[in-house]
Amino acid sequence: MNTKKTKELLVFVLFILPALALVLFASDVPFVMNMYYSVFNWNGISRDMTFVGLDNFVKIFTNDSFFWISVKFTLKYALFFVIIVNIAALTIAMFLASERRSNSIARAFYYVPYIISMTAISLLWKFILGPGFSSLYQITGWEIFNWSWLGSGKLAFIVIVVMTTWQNIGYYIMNYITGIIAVPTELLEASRIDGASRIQTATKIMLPLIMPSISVCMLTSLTFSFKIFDVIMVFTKGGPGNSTASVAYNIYSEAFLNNNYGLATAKSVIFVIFVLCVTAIQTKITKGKEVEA
Amino acid sequence: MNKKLLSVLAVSMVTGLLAGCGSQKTTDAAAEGEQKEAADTTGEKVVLTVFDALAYGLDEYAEMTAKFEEEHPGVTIEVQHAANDSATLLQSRVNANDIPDVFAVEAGTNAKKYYEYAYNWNNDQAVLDLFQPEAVDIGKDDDGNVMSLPWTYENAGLLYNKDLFAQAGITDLPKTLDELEQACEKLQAAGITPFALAAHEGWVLGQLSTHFMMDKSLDAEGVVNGLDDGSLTFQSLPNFKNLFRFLDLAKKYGPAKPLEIDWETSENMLANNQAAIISMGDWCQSVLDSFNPDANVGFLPCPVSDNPNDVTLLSTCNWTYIVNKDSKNLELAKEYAEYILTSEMGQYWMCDGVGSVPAVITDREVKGTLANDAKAYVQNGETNDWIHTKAPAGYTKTIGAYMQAYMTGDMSADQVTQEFQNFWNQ
Repeated sequence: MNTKKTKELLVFVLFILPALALVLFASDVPFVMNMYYSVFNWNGISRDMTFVGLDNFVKIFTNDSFFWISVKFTLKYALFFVIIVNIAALTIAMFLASERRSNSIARAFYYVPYIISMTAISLLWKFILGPGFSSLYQITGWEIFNWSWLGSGKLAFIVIVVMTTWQNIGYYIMNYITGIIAVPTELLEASRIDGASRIQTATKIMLPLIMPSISVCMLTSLTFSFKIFDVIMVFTKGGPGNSTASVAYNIYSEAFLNNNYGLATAKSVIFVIFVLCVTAIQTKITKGKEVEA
Repeated sequence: MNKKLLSVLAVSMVTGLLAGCGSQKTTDAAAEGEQKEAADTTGEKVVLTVFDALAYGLDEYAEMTAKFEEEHPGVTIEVQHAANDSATLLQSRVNANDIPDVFAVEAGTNAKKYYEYAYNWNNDQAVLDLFQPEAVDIGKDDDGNVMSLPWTYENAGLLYNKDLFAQAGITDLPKTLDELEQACEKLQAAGITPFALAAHEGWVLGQLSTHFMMDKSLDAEGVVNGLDDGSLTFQSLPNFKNLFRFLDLAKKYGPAKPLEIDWETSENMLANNQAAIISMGDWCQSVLDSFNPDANVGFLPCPVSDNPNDVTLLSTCNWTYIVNKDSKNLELAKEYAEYILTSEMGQYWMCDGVGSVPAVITDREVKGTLANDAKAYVQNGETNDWIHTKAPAGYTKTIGAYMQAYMTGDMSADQVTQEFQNFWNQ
């Protein structure tokens, strides 16, 4: 009996070993090393580092206004992105859930931007917003094409939200469609027969039953919006004037452009703890609302 | 039986994956500029790894390395030309213990970081004598040891389009800010956009700011030391407040969306006769030529005050080459560094390919029009050294962001000046 169990355990371990090894090697071990570096002062290159204890952490809270500006930006972005993407994806998914032919084509259209690399899309949009809009302005004369979309902080923010929403919405739509399809149709029909309006059916019956999908999508969109980096890097490089620097970008520039590895890793440790807390809270809330059919 | 098969499958998948990872790493390294292979037991095949932070004169560079390989049979040169993000790439390589045998860094704060890995040239006087003496000084560390060798002179400042100036009827170059404003008026009256400042790029603005920090009696070293020990502050530097007047001029007499002009658009406008003045350096010679080989551009020493003698043109040997002192082929690496910086082929690359004045003592003609234009100023001793490469790390990035904030109106001149000071105090 025992040997059977250990054999099963062995097979189990063997199967998860590749994935586990990759995750450990690529993300967990570096994170532990990050925590180690955060108590040193290191410029990233020299062979010796000086131990400074918790100095870096103290510095973040007392003498680093850039970090807090980027936190503010990231939180603002996360708020807008999570709300907009989820509501839009859910609404669209409700329309696209039925099995019609045109729906398959529509789903493909929404999904294609998701598989294109973010960097390629950013470059494309940069071109559209720069020379593209200038030409459109010359042709049409509409003021909206003449605004400085990438040159002003507020407009750049709108651009980033719109662009990342457009690119990622396909993924969330797929998730929601899966959740919607899994809802047993008898329940929906029963509610319609009982006299519920379309909206009531949607909100009171469907929504609680797709709570698992909502939970997953909210989690993914939250973590995505907190980690945002490649869009900032290609689009604005944190400009104009640091108004669009996200936390990840701030950490990158601290480590590689300011050569302050210790401070940057300290920031990343704080950031990880923060993201963990937020996602733990969010998961608890949405998991609590899940309902069995 | 089934379970056994599954276990065998799992084990083979794991080993396959790990082997795949291993070979993926080596193919990545091969794509980027290989792991250094130690000299064979036969001592025949040697690979020299070189890291170049520029992508200028690539054809001439290839010819140069081909000739070296010809003269040294059994040696292959692996070069990585990293034009963008070179600092990050080099840092990653050094941290991965894949230190190139010969690599290029910007002199000053950046180079000093790498000096603990650098070979000390103090005992190779014969090599050092080949260079201009002030150029050799640039590669010295705090103890006076020459840790890196100079490449070419780079000049930074305002570039102007001679044809457009002639078109607007400007005969003398403006030397004060008032004259600059008058020149802008004339250009605008002639239907020409006076400025095309690349305000999208923090580093362009950061470099521009150093003109207004310059004190000719102290030169760059003196200004940096003064700011470091507190005897000078940004508020006390005489011409610093004129930086904001300049930015106002650039904004008023520039294109409609100043913060969207990146370095390429800026150079494009200058070369294609669409704008008259930009802030750049002679490193963009090859780019200007590619946009418009007939462009007639020259250096406009930057007016910084009411005193015509204050105009600044910043010149230095910015890029230096370091030889890895722990290289497995130290003598070969030293020979290669000397080869690209002083030999006939090296001069061919620097003067013809890149188009800049080399640091090695030579009479060879230089192809770049901008470099030749600056040569007159350099020889008359009218230029000053670069400040931003001696400034604390991250200077142009941080400072550029503040200047952008000033240009958008989000920060006032006093606030920006204070932030400059805060940055330097850190």
